[in-house]
Amino acid sequence: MFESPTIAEFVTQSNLASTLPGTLLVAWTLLLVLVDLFAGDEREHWTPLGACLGLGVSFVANLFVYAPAADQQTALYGMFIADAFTGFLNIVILVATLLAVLMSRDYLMRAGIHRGEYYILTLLSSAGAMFMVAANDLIVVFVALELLSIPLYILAAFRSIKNDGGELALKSEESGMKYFILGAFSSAFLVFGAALVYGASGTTNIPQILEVAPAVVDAASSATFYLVVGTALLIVGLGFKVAVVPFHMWTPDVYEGAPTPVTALMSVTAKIGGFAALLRILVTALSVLLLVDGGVAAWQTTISIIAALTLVLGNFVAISQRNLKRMLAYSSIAHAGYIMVALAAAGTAGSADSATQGALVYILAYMFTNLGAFAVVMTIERVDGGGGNIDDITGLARSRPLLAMAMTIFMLSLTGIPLTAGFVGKFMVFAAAVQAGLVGLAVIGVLTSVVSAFYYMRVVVNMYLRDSSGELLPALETVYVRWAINIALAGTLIFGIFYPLASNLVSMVSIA
Amino acid sequence: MTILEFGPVSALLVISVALALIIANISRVMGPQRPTYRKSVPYESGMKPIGPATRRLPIKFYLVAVLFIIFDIEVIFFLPWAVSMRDLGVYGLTVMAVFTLILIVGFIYEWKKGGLEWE
Amino acid sequence: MDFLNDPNALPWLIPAGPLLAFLIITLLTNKSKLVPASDHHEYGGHHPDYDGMLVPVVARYSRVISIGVGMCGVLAALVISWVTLYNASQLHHIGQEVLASSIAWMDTGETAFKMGVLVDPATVIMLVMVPIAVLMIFIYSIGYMAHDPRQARFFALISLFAGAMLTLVVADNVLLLFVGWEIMGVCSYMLIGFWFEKESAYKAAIKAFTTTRIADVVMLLGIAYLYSLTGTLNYRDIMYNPETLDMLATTAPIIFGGWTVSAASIIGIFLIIGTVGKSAQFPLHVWLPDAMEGPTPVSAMIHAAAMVSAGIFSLIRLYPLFAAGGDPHHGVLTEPLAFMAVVGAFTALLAATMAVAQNDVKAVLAYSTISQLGFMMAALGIGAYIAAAFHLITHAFFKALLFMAAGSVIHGMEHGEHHVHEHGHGHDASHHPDEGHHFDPQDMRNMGGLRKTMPVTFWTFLIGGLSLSGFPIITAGFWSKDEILADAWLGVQNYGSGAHGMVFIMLALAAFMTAFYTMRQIALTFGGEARTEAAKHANLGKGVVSITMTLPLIILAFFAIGAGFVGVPNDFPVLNAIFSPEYNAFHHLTVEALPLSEATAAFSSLPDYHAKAPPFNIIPVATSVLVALLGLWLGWLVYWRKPLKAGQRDPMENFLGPLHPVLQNRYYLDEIYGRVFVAPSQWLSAQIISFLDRGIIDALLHIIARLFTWLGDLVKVLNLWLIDGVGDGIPIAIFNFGGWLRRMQSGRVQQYMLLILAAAVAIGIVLVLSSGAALAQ
Repeated sequence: MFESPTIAEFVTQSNLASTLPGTLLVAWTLLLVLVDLFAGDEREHWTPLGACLGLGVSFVANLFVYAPAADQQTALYGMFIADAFTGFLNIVILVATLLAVLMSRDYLMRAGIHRGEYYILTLLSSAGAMFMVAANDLIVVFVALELLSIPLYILAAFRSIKNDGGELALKSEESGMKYFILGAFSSAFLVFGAALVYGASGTTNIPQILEVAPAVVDAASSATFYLVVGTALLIVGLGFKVAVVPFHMWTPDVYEGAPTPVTALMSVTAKIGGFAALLRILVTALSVLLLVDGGVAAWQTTISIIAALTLVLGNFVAISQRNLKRMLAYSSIAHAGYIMVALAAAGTAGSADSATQGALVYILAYMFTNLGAFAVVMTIERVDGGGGNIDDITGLARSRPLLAMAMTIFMLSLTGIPLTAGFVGKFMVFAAAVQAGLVGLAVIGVLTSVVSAFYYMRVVVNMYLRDSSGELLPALETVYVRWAINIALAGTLIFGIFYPLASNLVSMVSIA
Repeated sequence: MTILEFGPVSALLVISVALALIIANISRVMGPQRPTYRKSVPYESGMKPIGPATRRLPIKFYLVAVLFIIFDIEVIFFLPWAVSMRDLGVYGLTVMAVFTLILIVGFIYEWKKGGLEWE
Repeated sequence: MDFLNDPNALPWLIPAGPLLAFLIITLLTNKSKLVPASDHHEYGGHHPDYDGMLVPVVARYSRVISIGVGMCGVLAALVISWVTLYNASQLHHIGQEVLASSIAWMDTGETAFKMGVLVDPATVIMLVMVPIAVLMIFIYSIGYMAHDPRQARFFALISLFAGAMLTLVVADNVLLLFVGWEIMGVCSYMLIGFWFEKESAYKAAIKAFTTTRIADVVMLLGIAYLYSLTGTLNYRDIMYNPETLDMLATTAPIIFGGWTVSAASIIGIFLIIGTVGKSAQFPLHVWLPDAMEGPTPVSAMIHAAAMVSAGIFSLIRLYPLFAAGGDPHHGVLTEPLAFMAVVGAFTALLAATMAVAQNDVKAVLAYSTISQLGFMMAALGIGAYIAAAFHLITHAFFKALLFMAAGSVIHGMEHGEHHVHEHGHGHDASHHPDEGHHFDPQDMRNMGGLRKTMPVTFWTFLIGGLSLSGFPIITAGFWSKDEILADAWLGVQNYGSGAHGMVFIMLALAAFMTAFYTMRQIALTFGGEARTEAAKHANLGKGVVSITMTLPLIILAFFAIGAGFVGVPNDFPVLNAIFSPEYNAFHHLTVEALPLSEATAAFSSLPDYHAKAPPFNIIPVATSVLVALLGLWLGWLVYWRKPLKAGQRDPMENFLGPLHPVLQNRYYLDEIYGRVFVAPSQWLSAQIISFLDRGIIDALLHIIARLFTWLGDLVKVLNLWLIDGVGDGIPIAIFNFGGWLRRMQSGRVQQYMLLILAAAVAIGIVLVLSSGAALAQ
């Protein structure tokens, strides 16, 4: 019979403190709902401020969670885990959310859709991402994924504004709807995959799967087959969230239609959540799918193929894009490809830690850079969604020299030029790939980086070298978005110049 | 071997589908059928049908439906808890309180935003 | 389960026949066409209320099927019952050994709730009575319902009724008993209201249903409480198990914890209340007299074979529970026993007084039923368990006989009335005093002299009536009633118990009245000269009361006399040599349904259930002989010797004075119930309805009105937005569409999904292939 714990027992046994970064953020958000409801006209100041404070509170709480692998703690009876991996990614998520909130304040005011719900949904989505990186159980993975995704569906459809002709722009609705339908579709794969893995192993707990799975694999019975198929379905479900080829098709449509800060947010947090779950499941739980000779995970081939496809398609299609947001969308697909390279590298026995650390650094760099780039695009974008084309940026260097400089640095970082964070990320990923014996994949990565330089540099060229049509772009941004750009810029440069900083930060991470 | 493990389940599936079909069709087979125009038209409380049944509905209905589902789920959570309330003790109470609190915040939101008003 | 060859499993099939018949009749005989009813006897027959109404014409094959299938069902039940009885007789010692079989019906955690059948002595006596009585009722119905347009429905329902009764009889647990009980409730509702065109009929149906429902709810509570305490509802596990009985008798109940009442008492009283409703005891007796609105075979079914017997039968079944904690044979009554004794004795007397003043031939019988059921209940109350069972059986036979004979009389009267109309007899006022208002074929004042036109009916009715009155020695009713009185007298004699004395006096009084009103009824119906033209022409042309209607009467008449001889006490002077040389057969069998003395001796709370039959005593015998003969003689004196003339006042009216209308109107109990219970609840529902009407329906209408206004606005907006928008939008859309086509990105969600699906398959294949090596290890 179940013995009901007292509250004190529960708090200690379940180790609730380890989940505080996420739970505090949720609690704060609920409070914010009430604040927003009753704040009256002041809400347009209070709600974003409250959201930033909540992120700060969560950030502080997170510092206690950030522990090396030896000190890792599980919470809620093994459902959650708090280790360096969680702590690091929590920080990335929180910073990304902070940047997105700063951008949003400005964007919403301009678009005339300033509503408190926006911030609340943003925070909830980030809390979902934080739970996802802390997930130690397939069920938590799923629930957290939904908490991450559902607010994003709504946020994607948030831009119900009129264009020049006074007609409603339906792109945002279309974007939200598509995201929702495809997201639900892919969630089904995820759940089915989890069910099969559970059926094969008898547990949903990730470390327990690791314990049970060798026997399952050795048995070479139908259960082994279920385990493999379940793995495939989990890859499909999470591959959708991180937008890798061939599950990427929603990305350009959704990214283009959604409000720009939302695009920025979901290009980062959703990917972080998805990759964290993929890493935990594939590297921690299913590393047992190792071939005996050679010590290479069975899923490595699959992931490698996906990574190569993603790199090629993302980078090549991005070339032909004229719209900046669409271009960044394809670029984000391409970057998911680089992280997939790290994931594939983690499939080789012995290189799991270095590959995971590479992936984390890449995510950190990508977060700063991508958000910064989106912030710049947002400043020149018109309210109706127009003005975001590659030609509209022409002559920015003359009208807005600082903005153009920031954009240049972001583009360089995305390309992976040294002294930017992007270079550090790419370097660590490729190093891990080579170490894991995936030389071919590393070569593809380097070559596609060269290809990506083409479209990134075109932006720089347009800003600096081509004459504008003569009229100067007005300064649309406010102090908030300027802060966002500043932080992103600082992050990109600091992690790029102080090269060992990032690798030190992730040196404690070990999930294998 | 794996297929056989699912034998009873498959049998249950087949039988339940067959039973449903039989029950749905037995009156068709055994009863008299003299369809007339009047018998064939959809029954609308004695009124003549004025149009197709599928048409646009105000979105408010969906709002109501969504709100219903939320509180429906609340009930689904409450019921097992209520059944084992004594066993779960203060712990269960606290957990349910947290759950309810979250729901209440949502409810206040919904109320304040006019989600409960038709107009 | 091998139903046919396993004697234990065979009882499952007893109710199966009638239940199957119900299904088959319901499924096969719904094809009938509607025609306006006319005077022609095929359309509505003896029910002028059908006039001008669209009634279904009974198709010939429908009639054949319903009768054939119904008869097959009940015959099957009869045959299987007999086989089962034979099997039971082969048992080494029935009672200690039983025929039983059960299946796990519902898993309730650790244990499974079992449903099953049980044949023990209590079942045996019912299996003797019920199938025969039901068969007789079926045969009789063929003739009686011959011209009714809804014959198929009738046979279907009465089959279901019989099936439910048989289910109840063979059930091995209280819940299955309750299932049969409730199905009978529904059947009685539908059959009492069978001629629902008549307002009185459907009102009676509703009354019967709601009244019994009140009692059933209480009974269900009792069942639930019993289950919660014992964890089982199986009779053998509770009633034949001294440990359980002792536990129940010594457990303090939850509700009256501080009181000196045991859980067994609380459960017992709850269960008894169920019977008070079903067996029409005061104060829930009001539905039974109205129930005669149904066709007469239904009345016979309800009053004799099934419904009310089921109530007493359930009490007999549960008797060990009621007696647990007391010792009725030594003057210690438990609360349920005292409750039964008081209610039963009171009801027996009350109903007998009401019967005296009734003019309707069926109403007299209805009140006599209530009265006789009171006898049984009172007998159980004083611990005369066997006497109650005995009276239940004999009563079922003679009451079925009486009802069907009364039905024949009514049938004959209706035909006489028809005959009078068709042939223009007696169209002068003196011969037809009822001209202008409805002729009542059931009113005894319109009858008289029927012994000449309906001799078979007369003789059988006479036998049934004498049996009801307890005419000494030769009738069954004498033996069973005598045994009840003997038991009561034993209590008075040995222990001076007040309850026994009360029961003895009240039942003796009731028996006297029974004899009197029975004689009155016989005299008014069959004696003297015909008081109306209809009575003069009743059954004219013969064959109206057909062979199918008279044959059951003759068979039942045999039982109304013979059934008593199985229970002749073995110390009764002279006759014991003929009928019970060794032991009283009925007593010997029935007592075995109770827990053994050896088993109960260990428990101080339990009485000795296997008590000896009361020794022969001249006082109760003399009393029962005396009251029966005195009542009959008085009735003969008042009504037979000086037959009532047409239009003459009933001598009882003079004799009773102002009391007569009170009795005739059933002590105004119906009116009181109407005022106290029915009217307030109707007022409440009216209030609620008017609130609903004004508060909710009107509000809804307003909402709907606004909704439509709103919809109109919506359409207007859509017009502006969609139609105009599309006009401008198409060129743009084409442009965009072209753009999409040029790229891989189609923008179509379905294609995306398809691609994801294909990719998922591809990934699965790749993964399986690449892990193939691992799998092969």
